[in-house]
Amino acid sequence: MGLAGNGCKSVPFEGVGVEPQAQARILDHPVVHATSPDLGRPHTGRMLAAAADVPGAIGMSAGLARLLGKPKVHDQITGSAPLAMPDCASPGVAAQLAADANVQLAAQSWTGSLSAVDGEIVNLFDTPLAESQETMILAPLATLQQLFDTDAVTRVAVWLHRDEDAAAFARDLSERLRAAGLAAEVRTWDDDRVSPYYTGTMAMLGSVVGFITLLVGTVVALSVLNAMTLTILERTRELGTLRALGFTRRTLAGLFVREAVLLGTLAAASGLALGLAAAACVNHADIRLNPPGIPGTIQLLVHPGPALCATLAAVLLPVVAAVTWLAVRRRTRESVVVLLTDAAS
Amino acid sequence: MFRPAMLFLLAASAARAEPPLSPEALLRDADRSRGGIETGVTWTVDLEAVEDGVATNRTFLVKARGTDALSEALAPARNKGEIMLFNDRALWFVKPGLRKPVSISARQKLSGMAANGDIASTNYARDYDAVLAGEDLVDGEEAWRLDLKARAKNVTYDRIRYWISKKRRLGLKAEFLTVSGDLFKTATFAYGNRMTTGGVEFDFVSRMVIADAAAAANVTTLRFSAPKAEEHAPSIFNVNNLAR
Repeated sequence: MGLAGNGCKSVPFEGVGVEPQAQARILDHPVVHATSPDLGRPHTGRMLAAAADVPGAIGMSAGLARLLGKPKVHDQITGSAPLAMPDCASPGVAAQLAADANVQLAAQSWTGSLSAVDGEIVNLFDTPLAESQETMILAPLATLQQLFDTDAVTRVAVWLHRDEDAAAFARDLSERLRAAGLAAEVRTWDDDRVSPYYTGTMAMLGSVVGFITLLVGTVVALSVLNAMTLTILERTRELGTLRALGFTRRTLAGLFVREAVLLGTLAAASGLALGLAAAACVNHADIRLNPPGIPGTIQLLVHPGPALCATLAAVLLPVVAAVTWLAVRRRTRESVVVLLTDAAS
Repeated sequence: MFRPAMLFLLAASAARAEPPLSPEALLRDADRSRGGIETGVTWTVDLEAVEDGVATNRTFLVKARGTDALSEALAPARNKGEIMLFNDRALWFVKPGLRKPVSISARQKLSGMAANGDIASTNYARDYDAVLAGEDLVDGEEAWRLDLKARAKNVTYDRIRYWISKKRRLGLKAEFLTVSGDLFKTATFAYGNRMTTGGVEFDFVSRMVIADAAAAANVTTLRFSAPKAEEHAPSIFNVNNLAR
């Protein structure tokens, strides 16, 4: 936390220090590209990793840049006029402030004294929350360490190949750090102390999606029951004929269940193909959303995971088999004569 | 027949009565001994802050002139050359290598319990509306008690309870209050320095001890030394001259 100044006024900022090259590698990871291409990317200017030639390069949230009267980033500043103190009382102060991308960051250092560093805005970005849109600065770790007069860091993030390994890795790392005599806390990415907004939001979305899945599952089961009941009604004489030829009720039920499972498998496969095609179309269409409480827009992306598809298929086929068996069992309890003389078929 | 004599007595009594006490005049007198002097003045502040058992020391050279003041850090070596410039109520900070000064607040913590506004000249008469609230004894000395309310948001404190010696017209003690009236720190003053401006010699502040109201062990002591009247060029108080 500190104050960002433009030569006329200062406003509070919250700074995050990163290793620019490590940040660039993380954001260039194929998984990040596929699932959240906007994540951590500026909408104007270049990333910190590409601005190593600019002394004091920092990224700034668009709202904070607006408060400081700095609409342009370093690359958009034309000419090389020397920096001058703006005449804050003059009517033309806005143009003077916008003439450069230079700001000063001041903060209380860890040694208790006031400290300040220069910052050159090389990019503007939108933050994930409206509350932080007017306060955030992203800076190289070294810049913020210089500002706070420290060589320490608040946390070290470890990125794993597979997120499901996080809990086991955290336990192992925690034990190793304890054995080495380091009093460090290890927390996984889904720990609500690390990201309460994310974990809280995902828990709420999980409840909503779970309820919708239950509703859709019930509708699917009733639809299959309805379809199979109608099919069997239409094929009552066929059932009677097969019973007259010596087929047992059990055999008949088995025949219909196998037929339904085969149809269900084909339906699931074609549904999956259609769904994936629709998801690809949605992803390709670059549909932008402006969710409440989030500055800027985010891209609507649909990524049905293989595990989710397999789980749905694994649940769907037993449901189809069960409701078919229910429908057939009720009809085959009738006598052969009733089945053969049924007027409905 | 007694009427002329009564009139004479009344007139004599009115002539002897003290003029009505003005809180503003009291503040102006007290300010003078804490650096609020229209002509140029220079002094050194040694700050010793003890906070949560940890002591830090810093030294500043302060040059003041009217409503402007410039404070330059002399020690420790890592802070040497850092400058705080007070332009009226605006406050700027700049350190060697910084391309432009940055606007900071007088309320911001400087070190320990001291705010930035505590080390430079004091202009309570300019910054606060004063009301005479009573009389008290402060360390055995009779004093007026004044309630001060900030005239602007960018002054060092919102509210101050301030005791000014009746005899010496010096600020003896201050209690700094939040907007809601809660006490958050107290200060006492000693006047062991002497100074002369315009041919007038007067006491000048030598020590200010600021204590945390919530943690008595957290105490910051400002020792003011070598005060002297000195002409300062207006240009040293121009913020544009601080830019690199």
